[in-house]
Amino acid sequence: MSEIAIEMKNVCKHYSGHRVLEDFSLSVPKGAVYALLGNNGAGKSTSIRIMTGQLAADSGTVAVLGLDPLKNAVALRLRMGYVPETERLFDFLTPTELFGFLNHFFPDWSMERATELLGEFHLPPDRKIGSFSRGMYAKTALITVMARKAEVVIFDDPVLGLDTVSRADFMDGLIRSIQEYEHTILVSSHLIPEIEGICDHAGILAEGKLLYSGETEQLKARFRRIRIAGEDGLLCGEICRKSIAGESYAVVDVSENIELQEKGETMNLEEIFLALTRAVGP
Amino acid sequence: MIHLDMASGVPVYLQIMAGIRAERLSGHYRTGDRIPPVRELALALRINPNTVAKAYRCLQEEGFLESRPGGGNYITALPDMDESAERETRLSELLDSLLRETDALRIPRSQVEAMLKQKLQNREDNHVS
Repeated sequence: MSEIAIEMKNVCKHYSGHRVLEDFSLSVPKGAVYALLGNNGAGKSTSIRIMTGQLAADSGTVAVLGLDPLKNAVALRLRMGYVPETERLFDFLTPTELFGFLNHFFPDWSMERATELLGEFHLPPDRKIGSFSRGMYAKTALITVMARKAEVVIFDDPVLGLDTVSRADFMDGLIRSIQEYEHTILVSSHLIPEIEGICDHAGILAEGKLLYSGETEQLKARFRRIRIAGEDGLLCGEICRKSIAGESYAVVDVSENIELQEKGETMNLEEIFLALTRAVGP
Repeated sequence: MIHLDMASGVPVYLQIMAGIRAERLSGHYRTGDRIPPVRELALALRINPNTVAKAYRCLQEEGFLESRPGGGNYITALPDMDESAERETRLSELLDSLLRETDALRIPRSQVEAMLKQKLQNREDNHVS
């Protein structure tokens, strides 16, 4: 997995004097399932809009499948699937009609897979999309990319607004797609526990800065929670400190303090996310 | 059935490996049994199929599993002496997981220790009588 599917280097973006992305660099290897994690307003959607060519960066470089998303927008959209946070579909069409239309548009469209997903997502094939509930609408939008064998698929908060059953349907569909189509997937989310089992790479974003980007296993190997007694001084590599059940704990980056790797407790993605984002917090 | 503790932060492929070893120790799997295909286990556990494949690959490298031509992974014969080490590893994993949960519930460790001792004592007494 040495080839890079998505690369952003030193990207900066301001909106009316407000800095949204600052020196943002990210690279997603081919075949990865990359979770872009951040709180609301951290810059997830902005970075996704830049990599999908909807927005120009103020500075820095962006390449998706080696192409500039702004200059090669059409060529790229044929090889990339993208579901924005709130998708607009053609409300006057039924799913069957919409899929027929997309079939002509995308050479990698699989009508068989679309029909299969429609069944799995319990959606009526011949009702106008405009009459769908929010969850049904979101699921229809997901099919518009999951039925394609796109090389890169980008989901901007796909489970936002979906109920529990729909989220489970989406996860199942995604697991099948990962195995059958081997796409590179970038998915932004703030529901970390749900995405933890699916992703093999993660980027942690706070206030427009990427605090970490890489394999989730390396991330988990790098941070440990250490119990500290009394008024211990600052530990080498310490990120932050908090107390649980009357005991004090420090979160330590053990890449700067190898001895603590065995002594400390492992942390899950959400705990690491909270520790890192709190450490830079306002 | 393999149980994953997503809250633990222990890499998922290691948890799958531990789970399959535990199923072998408990006798649920025997030498020569076929374990579930990657896709089936990935869907059942709601995790990335590549993670399951990685766990299977590591177990193959350890000689615990063998893939046979025509597909499928099968439990290989293990020397008996490996079993006590396996059991000790499993015990350590179970205790780690217990401590994580009691920490999350804010139960003081002294209480955990006291209750564990008491429970062990009770079992011992029942066993004797």
